[in-house]
Amino acid sequence: MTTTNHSTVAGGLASLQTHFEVQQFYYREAELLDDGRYADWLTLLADDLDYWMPTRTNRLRRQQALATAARGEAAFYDESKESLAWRIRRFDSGMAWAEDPPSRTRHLVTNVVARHVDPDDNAGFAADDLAVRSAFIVYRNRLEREENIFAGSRDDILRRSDEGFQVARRVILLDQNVLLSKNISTFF
Amino acid sequence: MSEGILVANLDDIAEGEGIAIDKSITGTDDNIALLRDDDGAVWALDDTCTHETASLAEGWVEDGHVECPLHASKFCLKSGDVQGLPATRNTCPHRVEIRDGGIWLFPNETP
Amino acid sequence: MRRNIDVSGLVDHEGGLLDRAVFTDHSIYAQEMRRVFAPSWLFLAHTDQFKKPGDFFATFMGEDPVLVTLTREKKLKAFLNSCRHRGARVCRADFGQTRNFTCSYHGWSYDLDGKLVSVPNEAGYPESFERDDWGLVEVPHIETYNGLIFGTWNPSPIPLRESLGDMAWYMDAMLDHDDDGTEVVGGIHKWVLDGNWKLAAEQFATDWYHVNMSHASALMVMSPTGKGPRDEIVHRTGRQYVDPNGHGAGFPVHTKNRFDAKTVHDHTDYTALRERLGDARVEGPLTNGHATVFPNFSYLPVNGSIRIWHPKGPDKMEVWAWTIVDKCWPDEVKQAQRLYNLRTFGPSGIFEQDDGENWSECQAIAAGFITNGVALNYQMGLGSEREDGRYPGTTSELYSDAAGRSFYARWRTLMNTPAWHEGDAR
Repeated sequence: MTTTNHSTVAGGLASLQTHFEVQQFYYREAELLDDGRYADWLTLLADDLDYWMPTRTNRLRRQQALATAARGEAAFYDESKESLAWRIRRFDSGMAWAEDPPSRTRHLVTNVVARHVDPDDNAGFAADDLAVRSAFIVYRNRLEREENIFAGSRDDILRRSDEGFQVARRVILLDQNVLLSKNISTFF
Repeated sequence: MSEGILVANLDDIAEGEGIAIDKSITGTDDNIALLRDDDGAVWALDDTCTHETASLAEGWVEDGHVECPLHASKFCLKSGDVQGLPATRNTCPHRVEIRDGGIWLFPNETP
Repeated sequence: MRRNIDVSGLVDHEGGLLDRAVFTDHSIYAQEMRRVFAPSWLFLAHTDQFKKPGDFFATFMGEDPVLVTLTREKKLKAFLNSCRHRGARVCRADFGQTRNFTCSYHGWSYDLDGKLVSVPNEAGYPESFERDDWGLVEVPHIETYNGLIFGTWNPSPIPLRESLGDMAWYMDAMLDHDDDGTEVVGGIHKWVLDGNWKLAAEQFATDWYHVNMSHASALMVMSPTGKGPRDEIVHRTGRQYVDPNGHGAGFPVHTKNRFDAKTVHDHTDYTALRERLGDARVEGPLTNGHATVFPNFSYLPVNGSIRIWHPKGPDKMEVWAWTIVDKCWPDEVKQAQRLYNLRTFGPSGIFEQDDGENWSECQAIAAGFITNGVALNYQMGLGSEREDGRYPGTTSELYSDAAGRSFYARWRTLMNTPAWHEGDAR
């Protein structure tokens, strides 16, 4: 394994230090979600956030390329930062019965691979920003015996500033066709 | 060098598709499948798949091959060679020329 | 041998009581498949899902897997998704475009008309074997109504339009805004719920009552001040339509009723709609309310949600929900409705998240010995049913169980009536 000189090469793998910082950022995010601190979670999201979680289907082999729904088709989330804030107001109402008592969740984030953004391919981003792929398992336990396990991937673009990271783009692929849960009451 | 038979027009076949020409027109033992690849080129093969009774004209044409719509064996558009089970025998190709938007078939001549 | 259950004692239409066994008993569930689902018109898909010959869609009729196809002749057909040979599914894709359905077990192939067109080693079968005898089992009747496709196994059904009766008038408030009609947003939300399918179907027929409590959190979000909905939202008045065939629809009535999504509301020409549909519909079911087409198809006009509750055993269902929009709406209006739908309903929707919990809660404890014997109360609006002179058919108040009572009355009738396939056997 060679040690590569990691500068901010567009499209290049980010350094060890950067990977560490991104993972810590993700762990902090996971903690906020598991603690139900949604307002704090919102501060980790950029104002121009695009947050999308398409549905997935079983297709004939020849149409496999269509197995993930296109933008504008059925999606579990298709959000801006404002619309996420709007959703989160539901939890603040004190009357979100489907989360009363609250679910117990555990967001596990792993398989983090961070690359520097190629600004030619991503308008509005600099080579200092990061294109990060990660995998997740979110365990949810509810009431007495309800259990759900959500697994999937996240493709993010993180914007980096002196204050740290913010998620500017997120595409979540849940590894399910029929959602094997009565609802989605958390975020990924 | 035989004279070809005008069997169809280029406009009759979309890219990635095929049509079958009856053997009574072509004088061959089997119907002929005219198959248009995604680069626009037209090829001709014996229409009946060498596996079961499927019409290759109803198959999926792309990237130099036609895929049988029933059990998915592939045949090379140029040579008729079979690629992939369950078919095991090659099919027969026939030469095609395009003249002024018309498709001319030369039955039993290799392309 | 099969013993059919007389369910008369379980449904007290006049007294407004329901026995919980209807949600938990396995024999009753099996009887529903035989006597409620098999003879009824069941929702299959939207016509917009079938544009080119070869377009197909896999769904269920009751628990039977079916494939809906558009044939080369552009006819809609549906078949049991089960190979005639050894019974495997001939198609495991959700939907798409194809020319044939080939079973991946032994290679039997069927065309879009369900005809068996290829049998490997056909020579190995006896002289008597005819491919024409072994095509996919076809659903005998398919009919459409304003974009909605229904099918039935019943060999002699009353026509779909007739079975909808006055319900069609209410459905048109969502389906018939103009001559172009509706189309579907691509893709479907599918998710599982722990509850008997009827818990959902009856709610969408009869239950506006739950909105203030169950959806309190969502109403808080929607209120402009953020402090809660105005009194007029909470104490709404309206009508609930009660149908002898078990359909139901309820909606608040107000001259200023409007679509929630601002872009949709701004685009809507309520005046033109008043001309086409009449004031009564525009002031009610155009933009508001809930509805169920018996047995298990429901819809919400406010956000174009159409859905089916697939039964998966007495204590489970699978919801499939589409979003429909008007074909002629500009793109940004369609997008606005699509986004409003997925943010309010669907599995992550701020309204729908709470419904799933209600139903699983009702189901989870219903099987206990004592619990199962405690009747449920469907008495709201008892005796309130009347012809109100404005809305067709029999109606009741917005807050009422009337449509629920008639849903179960219809259910009771079907359950106690031998279906065509029972012949003389009881």
